[in-house]
Amino acid sequence: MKQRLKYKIIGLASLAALLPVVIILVITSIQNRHVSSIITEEMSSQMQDHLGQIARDVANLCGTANDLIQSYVSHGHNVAEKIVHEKGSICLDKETVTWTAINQDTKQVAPVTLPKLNLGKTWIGVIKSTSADSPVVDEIKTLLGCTCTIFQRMNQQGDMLRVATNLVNPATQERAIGTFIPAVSADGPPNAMIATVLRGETYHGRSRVINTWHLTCDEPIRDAAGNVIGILHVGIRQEAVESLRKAIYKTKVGKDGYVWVLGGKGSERGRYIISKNGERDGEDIWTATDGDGNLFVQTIVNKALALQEGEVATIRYSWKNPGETSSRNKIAAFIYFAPWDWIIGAGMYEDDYLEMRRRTSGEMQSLFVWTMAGGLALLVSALLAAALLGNRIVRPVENIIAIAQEIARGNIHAANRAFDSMQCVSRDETRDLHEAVKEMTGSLHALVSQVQRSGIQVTAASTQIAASARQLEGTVSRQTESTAEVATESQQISDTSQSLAQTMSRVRSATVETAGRAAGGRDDIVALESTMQQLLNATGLISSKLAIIREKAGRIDGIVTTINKMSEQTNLLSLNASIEAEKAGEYGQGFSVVAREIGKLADQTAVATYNIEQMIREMQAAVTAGVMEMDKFTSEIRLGAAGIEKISAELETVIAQIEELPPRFEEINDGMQHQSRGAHQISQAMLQLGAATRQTMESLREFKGAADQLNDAVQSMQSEVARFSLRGQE
Amino acid sequence: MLLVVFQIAHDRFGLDAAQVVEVVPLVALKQAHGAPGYTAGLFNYRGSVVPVIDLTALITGTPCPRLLSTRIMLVTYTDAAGAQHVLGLLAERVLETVTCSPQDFQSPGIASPEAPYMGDMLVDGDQMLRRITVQELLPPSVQELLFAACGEAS
Repeated sequence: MKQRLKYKIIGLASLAALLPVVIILVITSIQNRHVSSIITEEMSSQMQDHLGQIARDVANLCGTANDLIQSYVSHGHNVAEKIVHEKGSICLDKETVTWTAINQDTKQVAPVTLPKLNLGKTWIGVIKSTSADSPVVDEIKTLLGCTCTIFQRMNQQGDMLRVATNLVNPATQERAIGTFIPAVSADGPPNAMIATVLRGETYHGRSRVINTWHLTCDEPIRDAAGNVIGILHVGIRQEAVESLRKAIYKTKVGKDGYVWVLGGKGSERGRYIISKNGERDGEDIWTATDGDGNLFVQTIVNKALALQEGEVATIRYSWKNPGETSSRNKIAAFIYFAPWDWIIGAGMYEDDYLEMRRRTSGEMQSLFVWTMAGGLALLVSALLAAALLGNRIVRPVENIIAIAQEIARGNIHAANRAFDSMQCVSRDETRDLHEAVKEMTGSLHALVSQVQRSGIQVTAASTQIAASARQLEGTVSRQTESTAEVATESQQISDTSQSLAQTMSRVRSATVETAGRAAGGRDDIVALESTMQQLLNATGLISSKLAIIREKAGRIDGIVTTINKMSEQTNLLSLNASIEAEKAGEYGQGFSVVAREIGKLADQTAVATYNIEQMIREMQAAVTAGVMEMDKFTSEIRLGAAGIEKISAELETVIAQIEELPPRFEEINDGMQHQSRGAHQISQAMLQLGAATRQTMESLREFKGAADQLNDAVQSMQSEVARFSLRGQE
Repeated sequence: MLLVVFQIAHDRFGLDAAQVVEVVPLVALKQAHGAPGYTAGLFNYRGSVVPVIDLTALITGTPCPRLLSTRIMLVTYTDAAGAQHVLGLLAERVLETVTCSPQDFQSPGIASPEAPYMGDMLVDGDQMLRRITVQELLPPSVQELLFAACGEAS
């Protein structure tokens, strides 16, 4: 339970720390990929633009150079023309000269005889040696440094033979005269320069001179009839613009990319014009293949030739430079520079751009890693804080749980001690909880001690009630005995009264007999005397019997007084029992009813004893009256007996007196009967009293049962309460 | 609640059983000299000396007749200082108890400032009985006198 609470707090904190970190990581990851792809795309496009721009720049550079050279050549041509003009004009002589004409393309040799070409009046001559001066052309060389050649038309087709030139054949170190430019190239197309000149126009442009390209200005030489008989050619070797070449070499693309130039058409097709650092210049790479075996050079050339002016195309291929072990992916942008038939390309390795990409993605990666590290740090600190805080929150709760368990086990004292020893430092709800539980424990302590005290009180009360019940039981059993005794005594009285009544009737019959005898004669005086004696004895017996009755009645009176006292005591006990029952509250309800019953029985007893008392009084009065009558009667008998001899004469009187006796006997007899009935009534009352006493006994047993039940209830309550120890003995 | 019923002259009165410690028979009392006239005397209750007030004498001025039903009700009395004492009350016909509820009481409608201990009336069948408030029985001076005389009786 406690573990779970703690872990919940930690879990909550770590979730709170983890969630933003995870979200940030996910966002970073997605963004990373997105940014990477954008950067890749942008960089690729940037690179292509960059390459294209470089290619275009180089093309522009070449264009500028071309324009410059072209204008220079034009100027040179003007100078040449001026020189020719100063020296007269160029015209054909009547004499002829035979040339061994060499086709500059095919190197075919054919002897040809042509008229001599004159400059003014002088033949130009056949000057091969560089040491000899050749007119016009050498002057141009000196003045401008340009190449200058005078061509002579060889035939109708327009093949042009060099007759004077300052161009030196590098193989022979002689002037390159005797070579000719065919009007139609070996491979078909007509020579553009010758075609232009034959049309009578001046050609400005690029033309192949022996093996090298020149930027030229060619003007037709006409005869007097206006036919084109030759060409005045001024040109500058195209590649002679060394600075341009160097500039191109130096153009750096990316990390180790470079600018190259390929030939576009004709024999130059697929040939390296400018390679990396000039290492492979002039090499034919038309059939070169890339790493995948594609003839990429052909692709480049075909694509470039199809481009519009100023348009840039790109290509990707794998390329291997000399000195490199493996081919690398390359990207190149190229442009076709038509004036020079150059395909200018700027290429760079994708590695460079991949390097940048790697750097960018590395940055992104490190951002990701840092975010992750930051998140981890956050998570760890959150976990630490949560563990710390969780402990702080959970510890008071654990303490309170321990205390509550102590209370549950009943160790209130231990719980109190724990409270005393515990210090609640936090100022949050746990302090309130702590206070509340402390207060609760205090209240419980007070309650339990109150209940224990009350239990002891109730135990005392119930013990007292049980003792009272025992006492009462003793009293009632004694009462039962007394009642039985009274019943016996009154039965005896009744019996005595019966026998007395019989005796009385015997006396009566005797009296009647006496009266008869007295009436019969005075002779029977002696018999009368003995009869009188008998009568005297009988009256003595009656007197003694009456005395017994009085004595018995006196004893009954004493017993009745005892019963009266007992009923008083019973009433008092029932009263106190009622009060105790009321104090015992709910537990006392059972025996409060019983106590009330006992009270009622005590009242009944009091009433019964009161009745008995009254009867005894009446009986005593009756007996006293009887005794007095008997005494009086006895004295009269004695008087009669004493005077019997003397009263012979008075016998009549005696007889009369005797005759008066029966009514008196009747009176006594009535008294006796009454007495007998009284005793019987007492006997009945005693039986009733006995029944009442038995009932009392039963009630008492119930009462005792209720008291025992109360005691049990109190015992069980005390044992329940005893679970709670208020003093630290456990 | 339970009332212990007793009689003074011909009127019935009641005491709250919760306040009654015990009802004991009338015993010979020791004279308490110098105490007010309605003090019946002192007696030994389980080892402590307890003063006994004659309720009949207090209410009617005539001493209570000594009959068999004349008994002493021992009640708990809290004096002005808050200490608890046992006080005996002497009355006639202390024989029965009556169970009732506090709502059954009615005000008699007559104020009796000289007898503040006279409480509300309870109609119990044909008869009526009046409740006695034990706490109001003794004026402070008498309290001091009685419980000082008894010492630390409680």
